[in-house]
Amino acid sequence: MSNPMETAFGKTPLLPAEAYTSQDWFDREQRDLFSTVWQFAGFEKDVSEPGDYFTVQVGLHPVFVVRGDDHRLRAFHNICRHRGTQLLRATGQSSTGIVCPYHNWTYSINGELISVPQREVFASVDLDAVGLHRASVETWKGMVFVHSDPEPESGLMTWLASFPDHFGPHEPANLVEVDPIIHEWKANWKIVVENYIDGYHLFHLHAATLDMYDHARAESGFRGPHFAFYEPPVDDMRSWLASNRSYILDDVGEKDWGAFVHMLFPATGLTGLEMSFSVFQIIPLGPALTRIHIRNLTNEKNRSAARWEAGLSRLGGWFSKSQGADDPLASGDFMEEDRYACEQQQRAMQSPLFGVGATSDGYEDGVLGFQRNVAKHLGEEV
Amino acid sequence: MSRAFRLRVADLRRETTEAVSVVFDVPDALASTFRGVEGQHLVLRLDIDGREVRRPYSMSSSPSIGGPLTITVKSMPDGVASVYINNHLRVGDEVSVEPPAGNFVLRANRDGYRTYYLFAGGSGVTPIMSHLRAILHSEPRSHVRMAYANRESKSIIFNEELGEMESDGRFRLVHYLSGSRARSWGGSDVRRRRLDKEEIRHFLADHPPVSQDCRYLICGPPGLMEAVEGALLDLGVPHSDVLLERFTPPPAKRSDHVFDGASVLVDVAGSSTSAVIKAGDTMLRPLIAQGADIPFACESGICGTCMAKLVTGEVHMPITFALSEAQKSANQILLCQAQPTTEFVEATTT
Repeated sequence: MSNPMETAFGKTPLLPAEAYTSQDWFDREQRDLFSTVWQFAGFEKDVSEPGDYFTVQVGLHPVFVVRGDDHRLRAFHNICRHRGTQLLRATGQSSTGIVCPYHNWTYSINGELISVPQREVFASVDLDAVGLHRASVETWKGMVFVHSDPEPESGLMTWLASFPDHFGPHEPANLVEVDPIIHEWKANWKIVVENYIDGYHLFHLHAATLDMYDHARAESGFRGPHFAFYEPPVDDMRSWLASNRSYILDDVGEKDWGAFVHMLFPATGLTGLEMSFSVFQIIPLGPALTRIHIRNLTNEKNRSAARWEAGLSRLGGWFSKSQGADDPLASGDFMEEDRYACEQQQRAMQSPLFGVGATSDGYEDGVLGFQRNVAKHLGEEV
Repeated sequence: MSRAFRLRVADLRRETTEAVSVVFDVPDALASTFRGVEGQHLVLRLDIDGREVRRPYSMSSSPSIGGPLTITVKSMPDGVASVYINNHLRVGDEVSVEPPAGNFVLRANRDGYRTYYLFAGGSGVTPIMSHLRAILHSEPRSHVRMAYANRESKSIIFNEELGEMESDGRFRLVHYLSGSRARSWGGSDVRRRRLDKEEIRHFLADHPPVSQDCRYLICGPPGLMEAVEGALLDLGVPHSDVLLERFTPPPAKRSDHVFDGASVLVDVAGSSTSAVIKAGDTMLRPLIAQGADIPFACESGICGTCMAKLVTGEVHMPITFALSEAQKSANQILLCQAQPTTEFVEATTT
């Protein structure tokens, strides 16, 4: 009965509701956005020795990253040149070669085809000229980024634009990993991203869970397509930090205390705090289903579970599981609060009356900027 | 038409007991002619005991940063020119010098974000130093990992400057000292080993790339260069990422079917000269004897000064280090190496 745009009474959103609900939008995003940009894929430490590999989905493209004997990382499309069978699964070690499970075609870790069983039955084909399709891989601060194109239009640094200047003091390469956390939320990936970069909800949804930072003094803005955000600690938090310095990462000096909460376009959240650095991989699984893979890093001192829990208990329920309350809004866990808000918003989009009534000046600018960037990649007029 | 200009020696700086840096005074009018790029060499035409001796020497200066044009020359046991430069050249002397040339050059990537692996042996550090300074200066995101081989610590050229550069967190240096009495000193990472295949494997493992866009630069004695290049290729480094600068040629390839008595014609700046070439001879000397004004220097296939374009016929070239693959496919030849394999050969230097 009603176009969401018509129900708005303030600054309107840029994307229509169907962008969050339709399979067609989802498919176009996979093809025209996720297949065409640099994306976080893992940490260098995931592949520290020659032959170590991990697999990653880059839009429509299954890709794997492998460390060579020369200690360089290489990325290839994870499909055999014979019949397209997936070559590698998950993570592992394969220093002697990559063998296709279907017909045992074998490739070197540099992507060359080195063995074909019953070679004589391919007499008319020049197999020497066949190698795996290359993709691109680059690393920055211990993080691995991939691109499906072997010669992408821009290198990783060009893609990051001026973002590195606003990244903050964290050196993920110096940190160690604690248990990752995986969530699946019944919401479109863009709702999750918009929630992540929405400065307005921090005051309200998270009034009791993220109150250790001073939201009113937050500084944020787009650096290229990426959203950079920083807010300092409140006085209470600052004095708590001052008396608990042993938890604080070596690379984070006092002037950098606070929360760096960035969103690398399109869907990688980077959160650098005094005691941790985390990557939030927001992975679209369907129009209304999103996996959130959170990888948490800290220093050796904090790694032991006791230290980790003790240090982070200050942050409400940050990274810890829901504390048992049935009501997510009373859980004390800001992730549960966010899940509730995102899933409810997704459900509301089914209502004919759904509409975004207004968008705040300042605090929600990130949301509009993000939508504009998505629209640009999909060739949508906004 | 060979171009050379008289340049005054402005300064001589002793780097080690066996190596000296020669700083040239380049008049403003010649500044752009002598600018060059990192990794290139100059050909010096020295008058030694009444005979002209031509030798290419790598620049140790870094043109993109500025600073005076400088070469660094190590005295070789039988090196007529290097001994002369180390022992007899004086500040104020004038020397005939050809402008910078050579293929040991880098093209920066779009992001200025790379990992460079530099392998230097002895005086092979000269063009490496030229590159190193420029990389750290012009590519603020790039990182450099350097392996530098010498017999002993007192023969390390640029030791002090390299030590200072180590304060830049993007630069790591490992010294390899092969002499049995080599001693280490404070600060630097020193391995008392030859830089062989096994050490190169360790070096890469200890210094994994920061950016995955890597380049490998190698310059030093032939044995070291062969070992480093071989090790890198064995480990899977793509050939196209390796850049070599050779000071001495490796053993030449022989050809059985050179033509005896071929007629050759060369065009130099619109003036043609012809000569007849005996089997086994190269085209350069007979053409010069007939009056062709062909620029040349090393006569070893290394410097590229006598490059020409083949117009007719075919030649065999035992050594072609001065030619890139692209130049080879564009029919560029080196007259100092070219032995005709057809009855008629025609080439032009313009």
